Order: sequence, then C-alpha cells, then structure tokens
Amino acid sequence: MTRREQGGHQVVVSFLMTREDYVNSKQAAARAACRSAEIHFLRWAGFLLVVTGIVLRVFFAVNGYSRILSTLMVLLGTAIGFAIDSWQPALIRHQAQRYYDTHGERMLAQTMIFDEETMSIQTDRYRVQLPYSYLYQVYEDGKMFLLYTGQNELWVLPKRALPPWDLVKVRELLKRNENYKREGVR
Amino acid sequence: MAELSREVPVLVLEQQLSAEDYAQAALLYENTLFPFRRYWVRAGICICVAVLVASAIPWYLSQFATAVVPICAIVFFLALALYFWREQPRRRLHGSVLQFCSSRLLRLPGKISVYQNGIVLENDAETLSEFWTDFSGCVEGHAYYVLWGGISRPLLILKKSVLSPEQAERLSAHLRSTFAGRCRLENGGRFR
Repeated sequence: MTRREQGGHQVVVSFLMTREDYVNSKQAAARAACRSAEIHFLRWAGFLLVVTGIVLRVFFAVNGYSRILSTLMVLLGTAIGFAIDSWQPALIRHQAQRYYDTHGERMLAQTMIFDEETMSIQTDRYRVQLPYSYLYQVYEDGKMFLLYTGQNELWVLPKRALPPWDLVKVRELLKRNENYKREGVR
Repeated sequence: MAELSREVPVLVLEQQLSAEDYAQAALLYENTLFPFRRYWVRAGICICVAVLVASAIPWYLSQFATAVVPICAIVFFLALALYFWREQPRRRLHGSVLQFCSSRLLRLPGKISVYQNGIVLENDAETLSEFWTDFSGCVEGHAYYVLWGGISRPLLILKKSVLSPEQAERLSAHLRSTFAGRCRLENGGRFR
C-alpha cells in the first residue's frame, strides 16, 4: 500500500471541461486579473462622464454639435462605467464560446489529486506533482477554482466536479497558498 | 500520457532556462509572429505620421492663423516614437522576466527528448508530452527554438547553446520538415 493510499486524506477529481466550464473559467480569470483600483477608476470615470454629459446637455448645449457631443459623452460614460459588469463579460463569453467550438480537441480530460502536502494534475499530455507553495496564485469564485502555476499558466477545477465534502477539503488545502484569493463565494 | 517514449528519440538534450533566456525567447516569439508589436515598426509608423503632419503645415497655415495644432501633433507622435523605441523593449523584457519568476516549474532543469512525432519534457516535478500537431507553430532564432501554442504550455523553449552545431542542424531540419509552413525564422522570415 502506498503512502498516499495509507493517508486516506486525498481528494481525487476527474472531469472533462465543458463549454460552460470553459466560459466560466475565462470570466473568472478576467476577474482575477482585475485590480480593485482599476475597477473603481473605471466606475468613477464612467459616472463622472455621464454626469458631465448630462450637465452639458441640459445647461450648455447651445447648438446641434454640442448636443451630439454631450450625448456621446453620456454614452461613452455608460460604456466605461458598466464595462466590468456588462459588456466585458459578454465579450469574454462570446470569445470563449467561439474558441471552445473551434478547439474542442484541446479540451482534455483531467485528473487532479489533492494530498496533504502536494497536488498533482494529470492529462493525456501532462503530468505534474507539486507542493501547494509552488502555485503562483489560487483564485476561487462561485463556480471555479483557478490554479495558477505561473502568471500565464493556469489550471481550472470546476466546482461541479467536487462533492460538497471534497470541496471543503480542497478549499482548506488550497488556502495554504499565500496568494489565495476568494471572490463571490458565501 | 501520449506514448512517445516507445519511439527512438531523434535528439535528447538537457537544459535549464534562466530569466534572460525566457525573456529573450518570448520576445523572439512575439516579434516574429506579431510584426506590428516590434518596437521599430511602431516607432517608424509614429515618425511617418509626424512627417505627414509636418508636410501638411503649409496647407494648415493657409487655412488658419497659427500652426499650434499640427506642431502639438508632431511633438505627440515623436514622443510616442521615442516611447516605443526606448521604453517598449525594456517593459517587454521586464514583463517576461516577471512571468518567468512567477513559475517555479520553468526554472527546473529538465531533459527534453525530441521524437519523430512529438516532444517530451521531463523534470523533477512534471512530465510534458506533446505531439507536433498539438503546437500551433515554431520559431527559430539564432539562440532559441520556440514552440508555441502547445496544449499544456504556451511557450516551450529549447536553447541552442546546449546543442552541438551538428545537433542544432539536425533539430532545425527536423522542425522544418515537421512544421513546414508553420516554422518561421527570426523576425518573420520563412524557410524555403
């Protein structure tokens, strides 16, 4: 009996990424890449543009050109202010769906094993076993765990593949990484 | 795992990447595949626009009293050209070094076996095994081969410095015949 089998604390997850998983992972990765200062800046910039546009339209629009300009300002402010919440996720969703549809052969079945000390990932092309401290970042949202082995390399673990008791265990283990970030989870 | 190891390897090499290796190779990949991201292309475009604006100054003066607006535009585009020329390469290298430093797996020394149908990378932590068809393409520079678009790793870098001239020639020939039109030379050249 191997040490892993004797331990009895491991979590084994096998899954194949679905289209919805892929889309959710891309949206989560985009959220993980956003800094809160950038989000606040975009929202405030959008708000100020909208207010300025309305004030110009109501009080200072003397001719057709200035009316068009102030209306455009309001529209631009709305687009910038709602970028993070509305059209950016929609754009990411569209791109991810298109990529998944055209690159289905790249979505390989994965097996992830979480031990007390290490985690391993195995696909048809790749096998790695690494301690949790080797992860550059771990991000968790309502549907996904994103495991970053580097800034531009990430592995996705959809929560739907985990039973509730294993979900708690995996979260506990991943929290050992110093760059663990959790958003949108109660 | 893809069972490449049953074949006899064409070439076996051992290498360890440094941050500089990774940054140079990433830059090689980017400059070769995306010509408009090259610093001198961007700087050249900005200088051309500045010259065009300057050539329109006589016409502008015939329409308006001063040439403040075109002069501001010229200064802006020249400053942009200077930024692309001086700052962009430094920032790109810095970004790539940060990428390398963020991944502990990239720093590990590893053994790379090149097979007829694919490539296998082995180190203390990982085993990566990809068929050539898994990659989107290959870029060959004077110091590196960069295989890009793999399923498990976006950039797989092979150093030429660890190869003898004969081995490098053999590997180049193998990659050229394998990737054919998807194998590019540094700065956008193609093999004939």
